Amino acid sequence: MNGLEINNLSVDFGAFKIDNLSLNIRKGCITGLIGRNGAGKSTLIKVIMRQLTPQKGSVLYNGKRFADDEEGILNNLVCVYDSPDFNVMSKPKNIVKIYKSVYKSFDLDRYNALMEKFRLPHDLRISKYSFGMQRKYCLILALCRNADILILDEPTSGIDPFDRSEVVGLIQDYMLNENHTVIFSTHITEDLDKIADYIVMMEDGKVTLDEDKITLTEQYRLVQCDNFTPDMACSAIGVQKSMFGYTFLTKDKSISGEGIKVKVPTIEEMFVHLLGNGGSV
Amino acid sequence: MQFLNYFKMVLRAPRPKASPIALWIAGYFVFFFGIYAGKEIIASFAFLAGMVMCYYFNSTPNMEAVFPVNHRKKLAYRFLSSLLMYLCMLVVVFVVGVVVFLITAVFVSISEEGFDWINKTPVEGDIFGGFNVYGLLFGFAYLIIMYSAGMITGFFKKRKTRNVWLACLCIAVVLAFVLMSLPYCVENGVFALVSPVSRECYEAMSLPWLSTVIWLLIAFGALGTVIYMGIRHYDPKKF
Repeated sequence: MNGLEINNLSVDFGAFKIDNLSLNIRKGCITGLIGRNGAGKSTLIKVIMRQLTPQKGSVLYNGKRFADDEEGILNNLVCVYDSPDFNVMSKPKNIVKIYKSVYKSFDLDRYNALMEKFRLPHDLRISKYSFGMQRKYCLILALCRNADILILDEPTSGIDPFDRSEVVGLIQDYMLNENHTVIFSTHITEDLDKIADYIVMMEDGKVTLDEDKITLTEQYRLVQCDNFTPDMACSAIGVQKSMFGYTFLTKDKSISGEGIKVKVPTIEEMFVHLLGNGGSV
Repeated sequence: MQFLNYFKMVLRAPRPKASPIALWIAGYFVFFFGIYAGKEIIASFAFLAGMVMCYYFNSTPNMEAVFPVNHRKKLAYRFLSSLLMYLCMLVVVFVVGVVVFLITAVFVSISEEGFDWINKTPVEGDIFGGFNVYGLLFGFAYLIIMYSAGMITGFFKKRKTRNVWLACLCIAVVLAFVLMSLPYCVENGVFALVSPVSRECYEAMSLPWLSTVIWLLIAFGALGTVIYMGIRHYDPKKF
């Protein structure tokens, strides 16, 4: 069973479009969602979180339609948005009281432990927190809900590298429960290199890539060379020229020679070169 | 208890990045015009409460959309939230009004002349004079309409659509009070806005019961529209 099944979703709000998108988010896995700004990632997340109504299509949550189990689905669906989903003039001690009352599975002990771990004051208005502290607080609230489906929209942006690795560790701990599903939308692809199981790439409201990370990294090689020959052109994807030579992605693992360096690409390198190829694989 | 949690969560919604100016202009216009033209203080607050709640319900990201209750409860909570905000406003205004009145009364009682109106009985006083059954029924209908109008505004997601609705509503309110005053103006040969709550308004009409019936129909139509829009908004089978 998939954690989320998105079928033939179409959304058109002028500036934001999704065009007949179908996608399966595997249960028990972390799916990285990448794409340019304006690709439709946040719009997709808003539709999944029932903030927007699509013109067409459906979303299944753990195999269930929303109408079949509204309360169960809403209790098990949580999102960390790119901005806080509460008034920043509130204090954490007041916000957590509401969360504890609303969500029966809210883990207060874990919440207090994480607040201490990240050194976040309980009695200071969220508006007085730095941007990174606000992101951490939103993540703490989401993780302590113990929901089955966790959606993260740029959760680590603005967080220092030390805390970022701790946040990534928290998400890995969260995934120890096989019933949990994570969608991780981010521009910081190093985080996806560490923890993602699947990579989904979006471009212009469509899914252009949906593959497991290992297959993807095994499939492609990043080639750096001084001269770009016609032989290379047949299999080159997203060729980029710089003062150091040419860089491109390829599925042809036989490319080698003098002045040619071949390596396994990172997600960022795949992202850059695949998008440079017009978004097609 | 769950409703109170819902209400607290809605009130803790993030502030919108752009201030919905049209909302506030329409809210204050209908509020003050209702009081000026119709002496409809209580009903005008119902509309203002709806505007305030609209501000919260349309913030993004919106925790209200994912509050973990079914769609029937959520619709009921939405109605109750506007009602609770309305009651809170009335209580605050009442308390402030009483305090201001007491302070004024203290100053007046120790001043040499005092104000005439403070010595008048409630029947003679402008604000309490001229009530009748038709007026009361109008007041009831107008309250329902204003409460419903506030709720309807909250269901419009697109700013443009909402602004068109608010503009039409403001025009409709002005036209309504002008039309209600027309019989009086024709009979007396003056142009004046007569409160639809007052006796004078209905004494000038040949079929006063008809205007009351029309107002009650509009009121129940408005309430029905809110319920319909609410059912559509919270429909779990949408997608």
